[in-house]
Amino acid sequence: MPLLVTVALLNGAVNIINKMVNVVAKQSLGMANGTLINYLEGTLIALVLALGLGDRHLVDPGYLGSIPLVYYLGGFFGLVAMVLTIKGMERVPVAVSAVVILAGQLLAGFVMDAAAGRVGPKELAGLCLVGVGVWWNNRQSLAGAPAKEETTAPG
Amino acid sequence: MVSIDGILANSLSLFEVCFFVHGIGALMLLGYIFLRGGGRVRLGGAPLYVYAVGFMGVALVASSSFCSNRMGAALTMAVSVAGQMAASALVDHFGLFGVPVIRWNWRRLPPCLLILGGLALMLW
Repeated sequence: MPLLVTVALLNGAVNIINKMVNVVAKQSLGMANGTLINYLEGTLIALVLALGLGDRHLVDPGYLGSIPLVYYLGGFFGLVAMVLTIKGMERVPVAVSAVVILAGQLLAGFVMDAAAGRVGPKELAGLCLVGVGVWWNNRQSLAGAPAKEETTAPG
Repeated sequence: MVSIDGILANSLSLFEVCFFVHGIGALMLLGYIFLRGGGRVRLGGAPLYVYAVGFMGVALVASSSFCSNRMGAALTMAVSVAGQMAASALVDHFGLFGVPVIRWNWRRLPPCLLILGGLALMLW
């Protein structure tokens, strides 16, 4: 469990850096091209790593075809989430977009686990505490922000 | 997305999942650029660190699939959100990526403790 918690924490940290860099990419190249870099590089890196580590499912069309099509939709949802995040960070006050994005992630995690019957009262209470903490932290962060300026980073 | 990727990771390796997540997104974007964006693909001219996004994207998909498959999506998201809060505080404190500096102060300790308390409740 300590390893999983550490990896999930790092996931969150990289998530923020990734968002900031994507905003810079979008400013430099435009929305579509800035996002395309992320996906093209990711495709190539993942392909090299998968084949380099000896994973052979990618060269087995029969096996890939046996997996339900809906399971491949993660890329679609990821792209939609990334575009909405960048758009949201542009148009909505950062204070609002940061809390909405984080609350959305918590809610999505809860819904998925609830659907699988893996959420009890303890997990629900924990998620609520984290959600309130996120909102409270954001208020405190805004109190310390320079007047009439907006940050591009949540928190 | 995390949950669907987690399900796909039951059938494929983490990096094969990353390949499909990014490959499908890239095809959709290329389609958009050719249909609506005038067909001009322009990838050069951004600051050098921008070209590290692919590595971060793979790390994000692989780590979220890895964790959500083993400790559930809710706990994965809760811990990840805590990581995002910590990283955001660092970005603000040091003014990284050109954002205005917002120094961390002790008034932000209670909400941080609340988040840690929520995580502790979920973990134990």
